Amino acid sequence: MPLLYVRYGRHLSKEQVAELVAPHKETLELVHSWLKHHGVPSSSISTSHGGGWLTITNVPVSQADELLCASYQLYRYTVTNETEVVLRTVSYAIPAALHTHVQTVAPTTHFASPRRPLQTPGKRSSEEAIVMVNATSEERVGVLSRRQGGEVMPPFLRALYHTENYVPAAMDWNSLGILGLRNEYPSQVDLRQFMYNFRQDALSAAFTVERVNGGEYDPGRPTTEASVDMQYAEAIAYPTPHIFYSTGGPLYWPAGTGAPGPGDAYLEWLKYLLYQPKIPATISISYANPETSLPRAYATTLCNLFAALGLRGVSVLVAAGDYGVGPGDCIDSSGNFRFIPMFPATCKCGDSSLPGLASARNTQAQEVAHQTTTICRSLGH
Amino acid sequence: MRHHWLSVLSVLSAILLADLATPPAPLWGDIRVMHTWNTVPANWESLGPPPAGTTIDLYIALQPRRESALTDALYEVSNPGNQKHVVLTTPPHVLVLTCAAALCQIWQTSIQGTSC
Repeated sequence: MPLLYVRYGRHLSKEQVAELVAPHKETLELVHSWLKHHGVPSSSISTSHGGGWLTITNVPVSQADELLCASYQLYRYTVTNETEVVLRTVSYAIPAALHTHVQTVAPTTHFASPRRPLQTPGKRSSEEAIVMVNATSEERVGVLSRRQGGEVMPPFLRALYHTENYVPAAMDWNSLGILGLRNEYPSQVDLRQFMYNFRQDALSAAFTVERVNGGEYDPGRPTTEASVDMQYAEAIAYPTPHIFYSTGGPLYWPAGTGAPGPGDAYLEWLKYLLYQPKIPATISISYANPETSLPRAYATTLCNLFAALGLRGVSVLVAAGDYGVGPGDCIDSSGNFRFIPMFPATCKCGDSSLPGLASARNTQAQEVAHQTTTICRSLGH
Repeated sequence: MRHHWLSVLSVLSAILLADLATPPAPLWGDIRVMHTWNTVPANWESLGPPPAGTTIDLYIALQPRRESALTDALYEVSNPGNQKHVVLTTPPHVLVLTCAAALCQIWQTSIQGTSC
């Protein structure tokens, strides 16, 4: 007699996820044997990222070159004037005997640093918002498509997502997390001013800061983008507690120190988060990279880490980009013409289910991003 | 002569047992590429090797015991239409009796002292 075994909504604990992603004993033995063969001390090796990864700290670059048949060099990003320098290799290799045991090694050939889609909110009055939201969904697409160039105010978003009358029901355990990279952080003073302008019932809105991997926080030197993230999240989700993760390892080369920014910012943050016994139920990420800039194995393994967050009961909202299916001329790094989706929103087409959100500025892009998702699913990706 | 054959057999056995006890050493010399770009990715330029003594933290993602375990569990937890079915091994009448006994125990506790 078959019975329905309902696991829907029964999220897993940190330990249960670790059991799911645990490698086979043979895998661990082989990898440790390989590392030992190259003189990597066992004291520098630890299990991380919920149990499915190994972290090896303080590996001399010369040893990493030998271990991975790599040629680590410093690389500078040439598009902006930022002194953004990373330590990477254009290729790496490992013994054939390990290929079925190792999914990826990082940082290696992942060059793209997390960047933000442009995100300046457009103008749109609350009256316009009410008109739009009162329209049927089909009509709303048309209305939004015709209106461009304005700013999006919090009343518009609250109306669009029907949150004006919502009263949070789980304030004792719920929270909302916002990822911050590249030494960007919001201002509490600016947040209060923002609320004074747009939501005066939420003047007490505040956030806590968790510094990950040496991430900085100087309230006297806030950045615009981090402030926009926090202000708009608070304007919608207040009074739910907000956490800002200022994550270090920003991929910059700290000039004169002789040491690169440690690790990979995404991996450092996911490592920190998956180690926590309790994670915010919702996390917002406004950083994104063109998917074509990422090695496939690297992207897949990061998607799996986002999937682990999903199993822990976390909903991750990620940027889909400002331009729907792709910015610019849609020419990828190989010169092919194709739509270039943004990672990690692309995880929704395979191993995970991250809802991609276009920025508040370009509501037309939001509609196109939705259509892209539909196409993606219909193609079975 | 007999002793000679026994010696040969014992030597062969020892070799075979030794082979079974020690797994073949992995061929660390057979190196295969994991990932490579044909050229330095667009918009990046090399500044050369880092200063001597530079260190790096490396992360190695390992293959899980069952590759789809994570995503299978994710869909079961996230999608009400994606649930496993299990087959009951306990006969239905035993379940009914068990439930009845449990209810009786609850009732007995509630009235304190009355025999069921």
